[in-house]
Amino acid sequence: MRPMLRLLPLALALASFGCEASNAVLDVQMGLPANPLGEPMFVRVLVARGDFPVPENTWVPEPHELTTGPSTYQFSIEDPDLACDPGTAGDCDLLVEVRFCLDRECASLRTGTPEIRATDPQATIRYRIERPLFVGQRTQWEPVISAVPACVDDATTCAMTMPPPDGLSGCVVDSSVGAGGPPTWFCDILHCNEIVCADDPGGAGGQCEGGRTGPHLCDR
Amino acid sequence: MPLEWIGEPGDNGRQMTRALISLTLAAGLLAASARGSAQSSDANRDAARDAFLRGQQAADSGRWSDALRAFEQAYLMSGVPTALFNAGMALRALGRHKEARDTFDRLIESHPDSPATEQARPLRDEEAARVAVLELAGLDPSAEYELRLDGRRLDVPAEPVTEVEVDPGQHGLSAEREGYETFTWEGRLDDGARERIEIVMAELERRQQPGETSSVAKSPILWIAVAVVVIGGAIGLGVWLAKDSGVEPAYDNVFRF
Repeated sequence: MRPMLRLLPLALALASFGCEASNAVLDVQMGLPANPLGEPMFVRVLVARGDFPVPENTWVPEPHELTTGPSTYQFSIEDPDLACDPGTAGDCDLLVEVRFCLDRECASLRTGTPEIRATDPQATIRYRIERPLFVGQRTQWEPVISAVPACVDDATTCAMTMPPPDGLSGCVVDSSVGAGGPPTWFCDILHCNEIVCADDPGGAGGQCEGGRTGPHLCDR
Repeated sequence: MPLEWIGEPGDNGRQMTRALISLTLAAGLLAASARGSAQSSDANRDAARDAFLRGQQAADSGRWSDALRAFEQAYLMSGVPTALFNAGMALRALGRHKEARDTFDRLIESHPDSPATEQARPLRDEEAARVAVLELAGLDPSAEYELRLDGRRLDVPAEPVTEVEVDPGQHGLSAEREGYETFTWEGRLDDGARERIEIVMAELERRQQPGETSSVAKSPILWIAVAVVVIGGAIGLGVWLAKDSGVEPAYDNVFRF
């Protein structure tokens, strides 16, 4: 037993050398509105890079059920080795698509039929986040969604979408989806404004050196 | 009624767009169908035509999800087979081959005499050939499992061999059973591949009851084995830490690239 006990610290000491973190993590705490319907309603999130529309299979594993009051949806996004080039503008931007559905799996949204929309809002919020992941760093993002996107007119045709409320910074009606699509908002998130570096949190002035102008505090 | 095609299939980059049945003619088709249908109102016909237009425009700019939604809407409003055909093409472009095959099947079944159906038949066979199959083997029919494919719950009966159709590409499977270690599998499936996954789940060690003693615990062989495992584990841990040490997500619900 004694040789074994001698070897243990050696192995652990070896383990302590060269431990350089190579992954990147974004922890998301998403404030969500009360359920506006009289039946269960769920939120599911898709994550991707590139351009919208996002692939249909890149889900955050567990959905979230809206409650009678505001609630919080917590999940993390991890990139094991940052498979993008921070030197190329936009390459490391993150697309986060939030979907509001009546079914837990958000399967109905994929069919996109007007009959379903009459009862299911199939609403979507598309976030494009400026480079929120940094190698070896943990970042935090706490968006607040104060309302579910809705159609201004008839829910079946949905020619116009209700504009986002003031609480949603940088968000507009997503015209790229067009009439007949689901009510959709598009939100452009600048990392100096909303992405907090866990090891070096900024303040109200911003999350970058110099507030909202210099390199991100996680990029130093 | 003849069908007009824009471009030739095989043009790769824009092949899918060009393979869609053309807008001008299809709009005529929509109108003709609406005239022939007692259920279609003028407003419905116009809305169907608009949806078809949107689908065509979305397809032209490569927004296939939006195109799919619009074509499905157009079909729902008009019942015109051309719209259903184009929905199938959009699914094909999105790599959702299983759904594309099913859509073409639906077209063939619902509109057997349509010229669009003639165009759909070979495409249907192509899509069917691309659908991959996972054979899940080793499940105990008498046990309860929670199976997840790509993070989504899989509602299939536990049978000695259970077949699940999937689109080609990267997939992840997990199986959970009470009292057993979680089984996970990840792999990439090529077009039309058939992969057999043997689900073997190790039983978790039963906790020793109070008062229960084991003579095995006194065996020196056991302790030698433990020593080997501990040293090996420690070295393995060291290697693993050196390789994968990194920042930890704050929440259990993690999306990983």
